[in-house]
Amino acid sequence: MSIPTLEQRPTHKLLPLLRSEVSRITHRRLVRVMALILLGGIVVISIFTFFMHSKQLASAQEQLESNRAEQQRYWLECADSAPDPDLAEKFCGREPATQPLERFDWGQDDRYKAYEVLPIALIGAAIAATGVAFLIGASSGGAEWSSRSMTLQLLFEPRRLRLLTIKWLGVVLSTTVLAAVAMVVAVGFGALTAQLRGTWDGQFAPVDELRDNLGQTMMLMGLRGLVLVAAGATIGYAIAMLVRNTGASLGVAFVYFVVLENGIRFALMRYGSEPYMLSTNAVAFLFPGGLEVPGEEAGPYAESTSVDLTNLRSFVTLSAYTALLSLPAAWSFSRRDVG
Amino acid sequence: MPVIEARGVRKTYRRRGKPPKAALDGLDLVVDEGGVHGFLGPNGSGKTTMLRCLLGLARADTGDMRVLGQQIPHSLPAVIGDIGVLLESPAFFPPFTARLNLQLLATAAEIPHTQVGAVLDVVQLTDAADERVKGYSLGMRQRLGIAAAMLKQPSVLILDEPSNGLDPAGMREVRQLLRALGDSGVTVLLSSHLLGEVQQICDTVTIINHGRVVTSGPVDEVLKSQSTGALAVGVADAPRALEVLVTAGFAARIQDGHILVDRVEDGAVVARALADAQLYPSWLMPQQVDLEQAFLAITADEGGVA
Ligand SMILES: Nc1ncnc2c1ncn2[C@@H]1O[C@H](COP(=O)(O)OP(=O)(O)OP(=O)(O)O)[C@@H](O)[C@H]1O
Ligand SMILES: [Mg+2]
Repeated sequence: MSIPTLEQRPTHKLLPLLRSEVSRITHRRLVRVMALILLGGIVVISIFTFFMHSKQLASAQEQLESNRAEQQRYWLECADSAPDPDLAEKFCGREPATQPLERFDWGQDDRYKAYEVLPIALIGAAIAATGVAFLIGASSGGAEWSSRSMTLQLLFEPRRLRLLTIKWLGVVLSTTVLAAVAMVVAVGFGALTAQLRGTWDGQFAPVDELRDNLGQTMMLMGLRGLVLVAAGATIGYAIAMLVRNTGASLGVAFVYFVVLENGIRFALMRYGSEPYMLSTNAVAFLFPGGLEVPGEEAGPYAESTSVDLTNLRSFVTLSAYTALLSLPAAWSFSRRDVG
Repeated sequence: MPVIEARGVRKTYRRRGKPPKAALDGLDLVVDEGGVHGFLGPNGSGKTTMLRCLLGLARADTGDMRVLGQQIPHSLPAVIGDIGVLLESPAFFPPFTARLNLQLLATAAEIPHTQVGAVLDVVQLTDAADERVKGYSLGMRQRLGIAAAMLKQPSVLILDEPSNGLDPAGMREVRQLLRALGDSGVTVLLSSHLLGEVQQICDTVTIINHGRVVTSGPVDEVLKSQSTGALAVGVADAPRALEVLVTAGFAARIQDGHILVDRVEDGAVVARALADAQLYPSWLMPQQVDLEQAFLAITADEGGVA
């Protein structure tokens, strides 16, 4: 027995460390299973969606037109009985003939409406990927502690913040790549469905940004989705670094989302807690232009105010949450005894 | 210049509901270059704690530590590439194979993957290299830990109970490996409870208890310091010989049919005293102390697990 000779002394470079870290993550079975579930789930839902939509564009269109025509007839009758033609709209509501066709859809229009559903598919994929990213982050961090392999790695790279940063980067990199694939698959299937069994009619767009420029708006949503996924992975990893255990990290997340957030909603919504909820901000961050959410109630009989949760505002809130968890995690990792 | 030089290291663990406990209480550890240095002490005496402090895993309260001349923990990154470590039970990721575990470490340090195969070969894990560590036996894990410690081809090897769980053949291989490494100029710091092993392969030892050094130095000097200087004497008429020796002022007694004389500087003095009384010793044998006896004597005074 003798010790084998090395030609080159061990190095301490960032890129090899990152490569090793990504390899460590992607070799984990849980990560592979989660990736498979995420992508498989998206594919299954996409196929389902495909078959739920009908190709009969023409008949749907005709049906809606006849619905509108029927409404128009009722409206004209109503307008006739109005005391003054100028007051017709006040008495009978808006004239159906001037209204967009989709208002008259009573379930007959089975077309896949790209402008309406594609953004939802993207948001759905991004949020599912964020959950997976959290799980991967938490379990990567937790597994490191339970197997004590963190100790071993510190014997190869003792600079703790450097090691932690690279490990965090590895988690973020792997999860965002997975999320990007998930979003592309979801939107790709959606586009295919729209092509074969739906419509690219811009009038179905829920907001102006989407109607005006679907491609660019979706692209920006996708990028925000990646940021959200990175935040999810970071939060998961940070919690695991703090509690040094996967199960406990998942427990913390469960308690937060299921117990704490709903509890706060129930108890404090009228005091304006909604704009500070993590899940609300996650959706508002993805949705083009943000969301309008309930704010503080002005008084027992007054209408409740609403808060414009813009993308920027929710980004700031999400960042604050992420920083609130990851800075103490980094600080504690850099100081606490290991192993 | 010593390879490892630690002076006055203190480390206190806080305990819930109890006063803090000093695991290291001003410990000194000096290891010169090359050879095998034993680091001994009863359970809980602070060996692992000291090694963790030396490797930057635990933070010492006070004390000055240097490895290869570099201040620890501040300049540890500068020398970590030269230090191979096995700490108590090795820490691998159980669902991964042994090979993958080592490859991940190798990749990070840009060590060629051929080295992984080579170190696995050294510890005779080649056949099991592609099995998950989860299914490894205690001894196999230990072998893998030793392989990981050698991955960097270190000039300093720090091993905390490397023989733990090894079979007799494995222990012997490790012994031979460490001795060969020590001879080739590698500095080996070996913490072990197998005192026979330590006595066989170590050049120097440091024995600690309750976080403090009790004795330190070359193995034979430590043994000599604990030697009572007893001399066993074989003589036909033991009762008479005893009478003669006691009368001559020796602290002697009969044991197992021969005479045991304490604190003898020179055996000739005993032989002459007997010969003057017409008693001729058939043999004289100085009583050796082995490391186990020395260790027990040195660490006995305070007693108990720390
Ligand atoms: N993480 C910890 N928290 C609290 N006390 C600790 C911790 N680690 C070690 N100790 C205490 O420090 C003392 C020294 O422990 P250490 O593990 O260094 O002993 P050791 O010499 O390695 O023992 P052994 O021969 O059993 O391996 C013990 O009293 C132990 O209880
Ligand atoms: Mg120990």
